[in-house]
Amino acid sequence: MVATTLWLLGLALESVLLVRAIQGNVLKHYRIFYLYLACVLVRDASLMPVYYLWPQVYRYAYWYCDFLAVAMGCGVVWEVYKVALSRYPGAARMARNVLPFLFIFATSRIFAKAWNSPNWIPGSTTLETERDLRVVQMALLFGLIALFAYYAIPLRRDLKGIMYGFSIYVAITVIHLTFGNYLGESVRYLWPYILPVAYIFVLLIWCWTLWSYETAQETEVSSRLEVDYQSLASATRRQLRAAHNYLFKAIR
Amino acid sequence: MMSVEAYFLMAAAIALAVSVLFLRRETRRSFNEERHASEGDASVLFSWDQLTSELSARIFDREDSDFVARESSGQIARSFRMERAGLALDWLLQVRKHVNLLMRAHLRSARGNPGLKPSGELRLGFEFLLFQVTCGIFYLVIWLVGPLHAAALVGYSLKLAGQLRKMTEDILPDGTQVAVELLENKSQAKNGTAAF
Repeated sequence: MVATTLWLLGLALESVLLVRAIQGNVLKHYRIFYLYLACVLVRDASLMPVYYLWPQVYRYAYWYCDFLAVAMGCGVVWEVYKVALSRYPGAARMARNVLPFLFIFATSRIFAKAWNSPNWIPGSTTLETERDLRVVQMALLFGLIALFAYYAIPLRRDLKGIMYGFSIYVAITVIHLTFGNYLGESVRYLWPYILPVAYIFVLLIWCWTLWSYETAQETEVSSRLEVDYQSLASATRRQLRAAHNYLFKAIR
Repeated sequence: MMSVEAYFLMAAAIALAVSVLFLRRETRRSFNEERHASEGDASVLFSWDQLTSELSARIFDREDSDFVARESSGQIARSFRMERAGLALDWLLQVRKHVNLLMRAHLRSARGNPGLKPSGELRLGFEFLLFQVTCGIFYLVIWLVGPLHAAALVGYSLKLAGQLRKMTEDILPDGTQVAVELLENKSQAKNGTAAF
């Protein structure tokens, strides 16, 4: 009963989000995100009759659909990167150098496992495969968030909502998939509801932040923008070293 | 097996915490964006001039402390040392604040600069981290032993580092020196003044 209620609530919230996006003409701004949402909506709606009518098929259907959602999730991360850094070519360049490194670092574990076990793909357990893919997403999201924080990239409310909502969902999924087998009986009965509840929470965040679309704030005013990078970096380095020397000179 | 699981949980928890922290920080920053912009530009022009250096050095100088110890009771001298420690810590925080503003101004300019070099940014980031670590160590040492002993400790450490460097130079063959000697021999040969 609780599972069905959560399921229906999720469907309702996903529908509300898509309807609001169509009404507000927001689809064009976040195409991949709304495509992802539409796919999840179709998946959830079509899996419901399968769950009640052919429960033995449901398990397989769910996992195959879920892999599509995971793949599209990577697209959402890419869209966050594109939209957030479109006005910051320097930070975007840094992201292009850092993110592939994180991607290779995170995927190398999957390949190492696949290499050691020929039966690994599609997974010794499907849970493990999904978790490994979610870890890749998490590494990319973590890299992006760190980069945004380092360069103090101003983000609009809607983009912030997409990013944090998705990060929370991915993080909870990883925890859920990792610790599902290690719980005692007292907590295990609650475990199947944690992920759906987290998803409802994330949908509520998205509803709140994406209810209306904010127009872009053109606040990027910098008197030093035209300065070429080399002289900018060397001036900063000079100042940093001067501060370092000043510190030692005063204390010595 | 469980250690791998713990690794995943830790990574997920960090990601979650960073998301929340960043959300708070970003909100605060967007409120103060304009103020930071003006402060940031001002920090770039900040210079560590002679007067500032002398005044700062005075905080860590023994002279005042010795004078107070000589001319007053032990309690006053102790309270003076505590005041000095507070002053030194405040000074350190001010220096750190200026450097943070400088770095923030740099990042604001760099993020929109299409010519950004990732290697240059990483090097700068490393130097900034080194500065922060130095500040942290100084803060801890001042807080623990006071500015006078901290100054003595820093002086001793620098002296030791200098001696170690000198020892290393003496032990290891100096590539630069050899190169210079070779160049000198070459130019002497060209001028016809070679030994052979």
